[in-house]
Amino acid sequence: MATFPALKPNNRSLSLGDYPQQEYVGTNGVSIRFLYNSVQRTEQTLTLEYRSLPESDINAIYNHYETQQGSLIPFALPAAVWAGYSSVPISVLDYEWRYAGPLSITPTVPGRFSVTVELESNILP
Amino acid sequence: MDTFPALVPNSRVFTTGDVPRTLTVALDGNTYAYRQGSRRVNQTLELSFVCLTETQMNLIKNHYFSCKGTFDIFFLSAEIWKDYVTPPIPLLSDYAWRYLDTPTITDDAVDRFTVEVALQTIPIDTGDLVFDAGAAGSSPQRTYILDAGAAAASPARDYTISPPGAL
Repeated sequence: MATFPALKPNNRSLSLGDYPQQEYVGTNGVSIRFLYNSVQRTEQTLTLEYRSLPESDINAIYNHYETQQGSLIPFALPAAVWAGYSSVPISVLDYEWRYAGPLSITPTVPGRFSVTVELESNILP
Repeated sequence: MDTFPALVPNSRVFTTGDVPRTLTVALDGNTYAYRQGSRRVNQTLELSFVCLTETQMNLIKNHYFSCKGTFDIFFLSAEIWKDYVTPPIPLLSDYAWRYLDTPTITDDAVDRFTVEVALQTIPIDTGDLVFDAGAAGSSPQRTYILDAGAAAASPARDYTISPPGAL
């Protein structure tokens, strides 16, 4: 499993996902809910924004994306991605990550590039 | 049932919802409305907390986890309705709250975070049955204390729903 490049993002947005459940709502608004997993969450997303990276760093991300065959193969995140947190909010023991979509690489100034990376969590078996 | 963390939001949008009803338009153009429940549904509250410390952010994150995401219900603390003399939804009433969507945590500056939270009311005194299929239950898994809006020493209603055969 190739770990994501150890680059600190310029912006970061974490969405906490939800516990798998099914809800049935009656016509009077009262609902019945069934919880299917009380321990692990699904659909956690992490959006990382990198601004003005040199080409070598952009290539590190791009090569990693290729190695993981796009959104196919899950991977671990390095501590650098969580820089600013005193404790990592999503445990590496419970979850790994996959690319949620293609990379969008934009040139900013000559030799510098910005990229937005969208990741989705994967429950570790 | 954990109360939502006592944090004052930076912005707050309350949507009043509507009474559950069906509208039918007759051939002559008259509209007939049929009410299907006595209490409003789809009342939502969007809260934004700006520049929280990591400790404060973790209060919300851990509360979301303890509620099993959007699954479980809870009541709000008075700080959420700060500036209201009378909160539009009483703190202890026959409406509880649950997360409408997953909270979003965004970095503000070093060690500061913005958290966006969306909540929805749940009418709870007419059979809001919650099945927790993942755990054995020797004690009630849900206890709703409803006593005409006031705190009660003993629950007025207990709903105990356990996996098949556990009771």
